Amino acid sequence: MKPVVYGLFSGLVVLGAASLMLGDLSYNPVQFFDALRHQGDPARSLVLWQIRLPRTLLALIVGAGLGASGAALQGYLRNPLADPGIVGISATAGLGAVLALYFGFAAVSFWALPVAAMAGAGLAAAVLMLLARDEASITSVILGGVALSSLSVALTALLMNLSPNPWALSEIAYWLMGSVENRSFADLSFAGPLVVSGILVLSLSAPALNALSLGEDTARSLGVSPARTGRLVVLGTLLCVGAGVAVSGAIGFIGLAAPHLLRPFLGAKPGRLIVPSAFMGAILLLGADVMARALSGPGTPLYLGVTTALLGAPFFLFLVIRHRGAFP
Amino acid sequence: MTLLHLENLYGGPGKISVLSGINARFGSGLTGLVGPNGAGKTTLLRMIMGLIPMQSGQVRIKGTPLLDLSLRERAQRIAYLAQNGPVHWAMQVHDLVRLGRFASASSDIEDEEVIQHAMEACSVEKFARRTINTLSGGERSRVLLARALCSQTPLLLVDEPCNALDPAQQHRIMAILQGRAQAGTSVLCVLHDLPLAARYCDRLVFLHDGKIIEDDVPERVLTAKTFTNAYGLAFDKRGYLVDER
Repeated sequence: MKPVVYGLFSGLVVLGAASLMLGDLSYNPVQFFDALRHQGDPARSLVLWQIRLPRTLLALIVGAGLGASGAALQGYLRNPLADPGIVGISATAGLGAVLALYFGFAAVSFWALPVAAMAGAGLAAAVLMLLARDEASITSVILGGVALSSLSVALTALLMNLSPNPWALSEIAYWLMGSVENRSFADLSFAGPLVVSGILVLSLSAPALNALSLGEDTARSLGVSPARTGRLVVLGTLLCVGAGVAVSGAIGFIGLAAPHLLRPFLGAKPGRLIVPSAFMGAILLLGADVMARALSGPGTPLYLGVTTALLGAPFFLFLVIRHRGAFP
Repeated sequence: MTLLHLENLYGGPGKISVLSGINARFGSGLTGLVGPNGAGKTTLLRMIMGLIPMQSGQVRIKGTPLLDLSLRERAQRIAYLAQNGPVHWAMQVHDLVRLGRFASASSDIEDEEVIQHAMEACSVEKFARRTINTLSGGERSRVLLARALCSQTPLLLVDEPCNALDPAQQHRIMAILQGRAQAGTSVLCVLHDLPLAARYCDRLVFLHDGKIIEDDVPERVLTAKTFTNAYGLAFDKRGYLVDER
């Protein structure tokens, strides 16, 4: 466990420093600490505090939420393919946000888009909780999630189809690609508490998720309520992923990959993976954002949803091939 | 002393009624639940564990109705080993056995002692750091049994633990259950292998069509008459199988 903790911590520090110090305006360590204390060049201080710091912290918090919910969902659904996308919460949050963009609410108030995204995610969570109410409900939750996801994607496509002009369409399309660029502390103050609460809720489900590894009957014989566990996981995912989508758009892959990257080092016990997956998710998203910035040309920013999949998927495929014998 | 009391149990999975009027008392000892496929053996175990609702009747654990106990309180009194129970992740054996302490966890040191005892009783301590997917069928069965044993409950329900195992592994599993029964646990074990049941069980409960048709020591239960009634098999005077009824 300890080497993994050190590894995750080092990864966070290195990527955090890279995210804060590198870019069009680079900092050496002296300039960096001066800017941090509001000394020296006021422009550097401004860029660090108003642009780099919120962007870095937001990437960390959104990534952490995606990683933790991916680990919890894989444990609850006992499915190594599960991620926040499969249960439909990402897609419905995305639909909520697109509705806010389409009807122009997002231009009227800062809070309209995040609140609409959370409302969308909440709707999906309510349906999933209804499905998770009965025992032996895993398949219903997956199928319900797939249905919600498909419906939301279809409705999002419909809204794009009906867009009144190319600008509105491009606004929706770019937003859906996901980004933490040009975000502020207001975004962070919205998503931060929700994601942290979500990770705490997911952590509460950890012991029950371990027991569920032996199937629902055995878990119940051990004193676990699969229905209650389902509610905790859905609520935690709603808080983590709903808030993440609300401030950064739809970012896939992180929730799927983070637990898989840790299993070779921490073992397969699902409950043990939740918090480390939060750290791994934070590293992956921050790494993807640093990479996106490094690869972006002037005027053509690369979006996070693109880079996470573009860089992560081949690496993930390599891991799957290498550890193919170790999967259950 | 009666650890488990079944009073006129009716019910089954969903709306199907498999059990029709089960009455029995169980104290410490190894009881084999035998009978043809579909007789209600697994249904009975699952109903005792509270995994299937009763349509009517009562299950009492040391006098307390099952339905008055929370899931955790049930888990502190009954351990259940499902038939071909799944293990969904390639978990380490030690972690898996430790799950047996889920409802009865005490201090880490005491828990570790119990886990070690259970693993030694099932001869799986040498696999402690291996993952379950690297074990053979017999080793896997013993690991799952160790998980059930380390709950240290007064009642142990085991559903076909010897399924698909070679004779040596079957005898190892049954000897472990017998040892636990002799230590004071009430063990209810579903078995299809009747010679194995006769060899190890103190008592056999013979189920047929959701009813108990025999409940006694093995030599009184395993008779030609029971076989003919339950399995539709006929025997000649020498005891050889002659034909289907």
